[in-house]
Amino acid sequence: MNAGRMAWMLLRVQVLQWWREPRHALVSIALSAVFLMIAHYLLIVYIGTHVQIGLYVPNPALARAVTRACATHELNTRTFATPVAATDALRARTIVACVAITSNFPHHVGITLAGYNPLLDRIIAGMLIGVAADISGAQPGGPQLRMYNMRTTRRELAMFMAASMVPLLIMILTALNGGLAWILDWEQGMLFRILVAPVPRLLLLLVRAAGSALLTLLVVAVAWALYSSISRPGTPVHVGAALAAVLVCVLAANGVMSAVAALTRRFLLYSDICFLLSFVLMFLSGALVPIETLPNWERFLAYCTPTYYAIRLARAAFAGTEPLLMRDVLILICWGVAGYALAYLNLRNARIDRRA
Amino acid sequence: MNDITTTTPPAALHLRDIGKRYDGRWVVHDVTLAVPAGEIAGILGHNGAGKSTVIRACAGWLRLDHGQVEVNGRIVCDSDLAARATLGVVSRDTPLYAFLSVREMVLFQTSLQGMAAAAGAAACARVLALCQLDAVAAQRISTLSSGMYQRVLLACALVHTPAVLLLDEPTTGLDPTVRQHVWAILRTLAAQGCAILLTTHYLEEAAQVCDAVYVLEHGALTQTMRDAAPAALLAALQGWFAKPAAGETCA
Repeated sequence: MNAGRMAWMLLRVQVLQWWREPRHALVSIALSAVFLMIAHYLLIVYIGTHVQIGLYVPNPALARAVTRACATHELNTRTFATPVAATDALRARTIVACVAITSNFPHHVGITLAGYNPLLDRIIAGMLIGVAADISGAQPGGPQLRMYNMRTTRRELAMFMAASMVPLLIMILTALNGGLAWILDWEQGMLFRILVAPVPRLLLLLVRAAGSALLTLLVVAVAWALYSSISRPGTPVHVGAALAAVLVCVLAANGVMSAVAALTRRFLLYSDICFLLSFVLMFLSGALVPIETLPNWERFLAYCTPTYYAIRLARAAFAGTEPLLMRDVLILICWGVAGYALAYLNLRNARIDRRA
Repeated sequence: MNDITTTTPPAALHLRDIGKRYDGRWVVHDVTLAVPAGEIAGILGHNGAGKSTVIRACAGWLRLDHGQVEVNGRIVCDSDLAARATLGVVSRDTPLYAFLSVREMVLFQTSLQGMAAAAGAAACARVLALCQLDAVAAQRISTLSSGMYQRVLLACALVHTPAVLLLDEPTTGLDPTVRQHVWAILRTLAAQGCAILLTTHYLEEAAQVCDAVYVLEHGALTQTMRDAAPAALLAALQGWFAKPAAGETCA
């Protein structure tokens, strides 16, 4: 038995299958890069120049200070002579919020939000509190509003969000390159050509896992290169750790998707579970919604998913916002190994138990 | 029905009382047959009689509800790689990789059989010549005609010189010339000591090629014809197939 050649040929055929379908390879890479770019501009909350904040500040010196503070937060302003005019503009939706500072500043700073889009209101409120803290700190005497840890620049935020997107991208790519490849082999019968030959099933599983990981890493690397050259999120804080984090994420996601494929074995069932599960995992991962804002039961579910740990690890490695925890690495490795073990147990008993 | 369990030469392929159920219904039941080395055995039957299920059972693809399949005295199961190494299978359940060339596909098959690179290349050249595939060796599988495709399936099954060859309707859709060629290959293999079990719809094929013919009806063997002259065998089979299957009515 020449296990080395067997493994090499299995791997070669898996890669050739991908390589000889250039449209598939190109679409996979292009859409992955687009995914990172869309997420970049969507999630770093770029407030366009068309979005304006109304100012009603009768004191000219103070008005100039507020305008400057808004500019540092990348907010455009429009000055109003009366509070009624500002309110009318809010109603007409030509401005998204209004800052009113009357003569008794710093005791009273009024922030009025438009109120028609709660998500926008939350974002603008956070930014305007930052503006208020800036001008409050610049005024001597009286109560002062201080905000600490407001060090996040646009670039840091971009890297933080990109770090969150990479594990999600890996999850989707392994669902395609790993799980779906198993399913297609199962449904089209390729697997039974392999299984009738004296191929040890553990070897088959390991080679398929390596092939899927290789293809996923290749797509992620090229997509990241494209994304970096266009959107310029910067370099990861810990480059070595970022590479290791990507490897661990690929291992875990590949294991989980292989297990889902081995348990379902049918395209429709696999796609139902896999793609709907991806949405659930995406929302529970903390990538889009902070885990801290979730109710207890949802937070508990998040802690039970691998994506939560994958994103925490990626953020620590790419953005340096959290300490690198070995615990996260171990949990992800456990997920991966458990997935492969489940897939192996199922593959060991693979049969065509259905009528043609 | 003849008692085929008393066949004198040791059977290379032995089906012992195999049974398979789908949704509580027996698709194959109480099938016992033996194919000695050098014999070509054919299974005939109407559509849905269970022919493909028997081939799948022999290939180890099914979890049998009853009985077992032995190849050279070893039970076909997942853990016995040696038993699987002696099998060659031509079946519509095992398609080919459309993106590979014919030579790449056959070489891939040699690697699955655990052959070293040099031995694999030699075996590849041998079966490509045997199946008259040299001219299309560099061609992608996706561009082949159905006749060529069937020959590549056969080449893949033969590349490791199996002791037992299983063929599920190997000549369906082939023109008479190619069919004759496939028959010639099967006769050559049998002469070299390979035990062959095939299923077919063609009575002429069964009469011309097979040393023993089994008729499968509703999952059970009902007729066994052995060592008869082709003409007599064909007449007997035509007589049997002229009868409507149970549940069918003549117009």
